[in-house]
Amino acid sequence: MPDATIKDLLARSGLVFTGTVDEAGASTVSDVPVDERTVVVRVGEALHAPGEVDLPPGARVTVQLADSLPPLGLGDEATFFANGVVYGENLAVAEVGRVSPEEVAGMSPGHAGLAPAVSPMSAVIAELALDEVVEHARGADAVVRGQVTGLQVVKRTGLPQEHDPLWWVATLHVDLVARGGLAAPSEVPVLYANSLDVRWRRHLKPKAGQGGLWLLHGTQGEAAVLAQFMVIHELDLQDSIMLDVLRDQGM
Amino acid sequence: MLRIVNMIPRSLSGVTGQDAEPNLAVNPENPLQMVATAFTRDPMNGPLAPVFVSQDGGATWSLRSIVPGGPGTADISVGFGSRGGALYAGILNFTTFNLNVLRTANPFALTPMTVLVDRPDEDQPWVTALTARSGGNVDRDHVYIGHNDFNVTPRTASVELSRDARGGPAPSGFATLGVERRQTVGQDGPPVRTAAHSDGTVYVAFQRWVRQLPSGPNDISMDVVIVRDDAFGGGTPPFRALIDPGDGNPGARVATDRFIRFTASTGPLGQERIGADLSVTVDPADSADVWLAWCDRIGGAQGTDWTLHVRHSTDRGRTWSPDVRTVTNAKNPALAVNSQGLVGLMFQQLFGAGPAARWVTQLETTADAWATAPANFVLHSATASSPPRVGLPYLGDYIRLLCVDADFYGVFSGSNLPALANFPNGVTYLRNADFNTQTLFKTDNATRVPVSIDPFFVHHYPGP
Repeated sequence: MPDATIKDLLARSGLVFTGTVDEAGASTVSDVPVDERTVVVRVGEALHAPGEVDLPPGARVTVQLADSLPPLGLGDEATFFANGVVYGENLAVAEVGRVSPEEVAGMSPGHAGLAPAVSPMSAVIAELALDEVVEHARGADAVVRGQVTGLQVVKRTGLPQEHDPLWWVATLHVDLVARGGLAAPSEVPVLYANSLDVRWRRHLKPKAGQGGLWLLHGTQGEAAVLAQFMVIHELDLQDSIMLDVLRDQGM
Repeated sequence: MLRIVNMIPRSLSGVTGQDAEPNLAVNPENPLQMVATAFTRDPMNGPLAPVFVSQDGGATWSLRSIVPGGPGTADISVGFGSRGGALYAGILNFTTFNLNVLRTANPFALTPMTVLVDRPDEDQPWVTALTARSGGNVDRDHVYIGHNDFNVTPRTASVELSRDARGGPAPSGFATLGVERRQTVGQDGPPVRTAAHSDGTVYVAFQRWVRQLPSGPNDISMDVVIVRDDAFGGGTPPFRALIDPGDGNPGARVATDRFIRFTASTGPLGQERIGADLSVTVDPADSADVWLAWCDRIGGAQGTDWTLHVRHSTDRGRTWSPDVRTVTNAKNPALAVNSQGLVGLMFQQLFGAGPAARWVTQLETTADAWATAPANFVLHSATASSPPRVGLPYLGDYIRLLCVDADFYGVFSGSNLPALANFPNGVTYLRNADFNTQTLFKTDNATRVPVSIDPFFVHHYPGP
């Protein structure tokens, strides 16, 4: 199977693991209705999983097989691409796709005589992460290289609110402009939410002296009077070397 | 009987999130069925947020993602109708931050909830639901969602209400009603709490922000106000059955000119923010019997306390007792009354200061309005400085206690350090934990997991 298909499956899956069907028409999770497409898989190796969902070898996972794929029987082996459905005493997942173990193992081989620097699955994951940054950068109104030279609180004028963003302005010393009608060198004020509230805690919070490639977004709404640009996303600060990647992508 | 359960399931033994601000719904038709929520993210960062469900009375819990809007929520509360098994949720959507009112006929299925209402500029939806057994709306689900509606400033305390919510397409009868009738400083406080009785009496409590104080931009003088409707929210006009004798306006002012310091993004109380604590409940056997709790700072601008107050009315909210219970440095009051008239108060209190400070979550029950010493159960006690905060709220802006018949059911969040001394009334962990070494482990039972904030379930039956 071509790598592109693996990448597509991975983009739609939170979990990838090899395994062997241990039971057919069975479940290890009481909440999951069992039908002929429900199988229990004994995990061989977890190839990709979020940090908080570990699948140790030997774990038994209930898999609801995809309707579009052939059913599996006792002893069948595969590499499963799946998403979580029920997290209980055990885990139940819905299958997104499936390849043979050999197809994944055969991807992205290392150079002759050398082990690959990263696992084949890690290479695809890294590629997907890069795609996400590129896509995010395409949505930015300005892309600049710069360093934080000042941080200043915006005095609140209204009443305190639970989900108040607590606006601050970071001043960036910009020495290169990859996109956006800004001059270089110049000092560019950038708005950001400094609140730790549940609504804002994930927003990027620039720190003194921090430098890199900044993906800036035009400030919307009433806050636009505070600064022309803002940072809102964890991806809005990248290593400067990412500039080369973005240029390679035609930006 | 008292049971406490750490709700994180074994298959998620690796979670380290700050799973604060829990909420709970128990199916009155089948109390073995429960749905709980917290600031728990979808483990795979998927497009739906999770709920915890239990079908064995809270002994075990599992997680499944059925809440639209993204991998988490920015506020969520839940409620079951008293018949029919439908579950309602009020959320702040993780992606848009809009108020969403949600419904599912079966929260134990794996299908996403249906969006019934979608509106911006809102805060803190609080769901109460019941199924009418009398009047012209028999067998219809009545849902009352307190919310702070910034679309109608300066009188923001509001109720999103449907008197036939179980069926039909969006909005399924939902419409918003303002319940603040007085002038405010520009808005009401975030919490708007609802309590509904099967005879059609509905109470709504809120915090009227009266004025900003010269002592600081976060210092507010507030009144604690309660309104009532005697026809399932269909009074003419609605929620105006209580008139304050002091100013002739709808809504009894239970307390006036109370000092609050509202801290949205700092945590002066054991890493937690303060400024918006409120609970109301009604006796299921007597709709005239209503209880109210809130927190304020007795010491005013120079004070450091955060004091919980409980008051009681026996005449449908017309007159109120003085404080029948106060607790210093406590927050998240959660009141409920069981079928025997026993009043339950769950709260989280900070004991001590500095590194020795501890968050202590307690449940008190009283049959005489605290005239004599209540039964007091320490549910959880843990060092307030651990784990370090990753955001706010730390434990949550609310917890929940409710009753079905004689049983009390509740949820709170706290440190998940597996130390027996932290649970003097015992606890059950579903996730992997070694109480001898006070260590959490991933599902492999070998890899250590750092301490974090988890939701805990409480079930108390006050009999033998």
